[in-house]
Amino acid sequence: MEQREVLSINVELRCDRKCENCERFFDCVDERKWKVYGRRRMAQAIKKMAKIKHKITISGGKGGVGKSTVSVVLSTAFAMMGRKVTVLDQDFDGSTIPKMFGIQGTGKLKYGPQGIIPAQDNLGLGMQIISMSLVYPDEIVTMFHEMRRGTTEEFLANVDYGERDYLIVDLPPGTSSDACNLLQYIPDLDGTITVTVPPAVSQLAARKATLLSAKAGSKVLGIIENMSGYICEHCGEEFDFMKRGGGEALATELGVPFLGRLPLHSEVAQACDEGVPFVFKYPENPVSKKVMEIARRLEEEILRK
Amino acid sequence: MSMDSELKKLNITEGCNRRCEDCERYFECTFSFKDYFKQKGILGFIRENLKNVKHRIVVLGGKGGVGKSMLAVNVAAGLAKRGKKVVLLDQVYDCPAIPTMLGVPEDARLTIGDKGLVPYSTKWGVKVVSTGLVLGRDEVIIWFHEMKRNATEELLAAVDYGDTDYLIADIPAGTSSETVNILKYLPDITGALVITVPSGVSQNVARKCIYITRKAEVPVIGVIENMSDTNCPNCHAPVSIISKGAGEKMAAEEGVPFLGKIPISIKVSTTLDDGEPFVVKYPESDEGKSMEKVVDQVIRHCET
Repeated sequence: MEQREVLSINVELRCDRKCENCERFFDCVDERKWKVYGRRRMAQAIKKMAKIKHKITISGGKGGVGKSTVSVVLSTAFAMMGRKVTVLDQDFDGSTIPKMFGIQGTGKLKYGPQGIIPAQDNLGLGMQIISMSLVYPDEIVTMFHEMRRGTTEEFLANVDYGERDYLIVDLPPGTSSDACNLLQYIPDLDGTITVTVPPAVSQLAARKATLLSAKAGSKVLGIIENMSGYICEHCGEEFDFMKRGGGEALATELGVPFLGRLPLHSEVAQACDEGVPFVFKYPENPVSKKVMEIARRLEEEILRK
Repeated sequence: MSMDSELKKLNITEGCNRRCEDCERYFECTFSFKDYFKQKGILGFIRENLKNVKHRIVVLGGKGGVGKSMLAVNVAAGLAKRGKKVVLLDQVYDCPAIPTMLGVPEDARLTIGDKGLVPYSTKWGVKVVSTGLVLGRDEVIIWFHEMKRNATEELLAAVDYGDTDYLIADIPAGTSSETVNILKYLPDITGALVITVPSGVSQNVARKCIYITRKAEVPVIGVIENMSDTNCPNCHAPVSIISKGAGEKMAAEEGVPFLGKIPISIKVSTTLDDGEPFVVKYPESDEGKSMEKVVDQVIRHCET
């Protein structure tokens, strides 16, 4: 029996000229696609976000690596440095950002004359928080692609952001729909941070996420290796529960900055379940200090541009 | 006077276009015409193609990075070790990792034989079907929903499964696209394994998975709590790296069986990097024993 190699899976690739809807926007070589930015909501999104100085996405490709945690603590770190920060949760299936800020169920998005008014943090840091689960706190909503795009549009084109220093966008796992929608809508991103975990096998996804950002023309600000070791609360010694070094190796391989390792600590888990960002609650914790260091380094990098 | 009012609903379309085959809200839908979908062509092919596959299991988690692929790989290897014929269907299209976790060489590719695509046989006795065996490591393909659905159809209808005892489908994170697709297109699913991690914040999405399986009328074999308590290698005191016990609690609240805890350990992560499932390599370790117990319970659920 003759056996041949499978070269591609039989999927449809035809173009329906709906660039707004297309998940292959960045693959497309048709120059007409750029007209999309002059059209309706796209143009509105650009206008609404004109007073936001810096826009950063947090991506990972892989799930459960701590994208939301990193988004929350980095935002908090910037806010503790006196910056005006907005956090945008793009995870529609499993959005946890409001829970991590302790405003799940109490925080609400409001509607004013200038559009959607974001919820506020309860730490007095003046942060704005936008998330799907501030609108539908308990419901299970199965979001399909068009709804996701609609929501992204709504959150970018119809929110009253005002003047901000930073917009931090938490992307969901995967390298299709949600990630793509967003990169499409914000053509002037300052850059992307890729969050990964130590094992080599996890870098398959992190590599793709990083390459996707590069494909979309966004600068890669760096890679963070999260869950890199655990500091034992009994003896204070640090030990690895996943093989260390995958994140750093990926950064070297792709030629992008390595921003550092973030180990876990019992105070981190505890603060997370309590709904208080650990950098705020335990500023003296060794992990918090590392987060502050990364935030300062990022700001330097962004301002240098 | 304030103009502000609470935002109750987002301005997004939720209209029905009667394309049930594409719809990600199929299981929530109450329209009766959705039953016509079941009579459509491709489902018949799939049913016929899978007629010699005895048991069909889906591995779900909802949340990313909880260990879905780790569980799928080890359950498959554990079943193969017990002499079962196992095919592992990797439904992760964005970043398929199963070939790496089973030690498949990087240049290995799926082939086409007389009866369709031939699953790749690994040294663990598990056969693998994965888009990772079609695409190169650096190819970023941006998949959209319809493409994923087409790929799922093709992988179910055009793969030569032959006589198989267990077909195990590994589903990626999220509770929309791929999850709904496999529940719609894989007929007569024997059961679902739901994996979660110990932190409280992770349970909502695991619950969502259980709700979806209920809507799809698929029984839950049980919940597994991964990355559970372990001991510090220096002082040997027990530590809970990612909180404690919320998975077991969630299973009890949802009234589904709890199949056990797998301790977080460098052994698990190293064996995945090296492509050697720990259920085969370290069956006597704590991790291995927990996994063997899960495999036995899967067999009990399916074969009695």
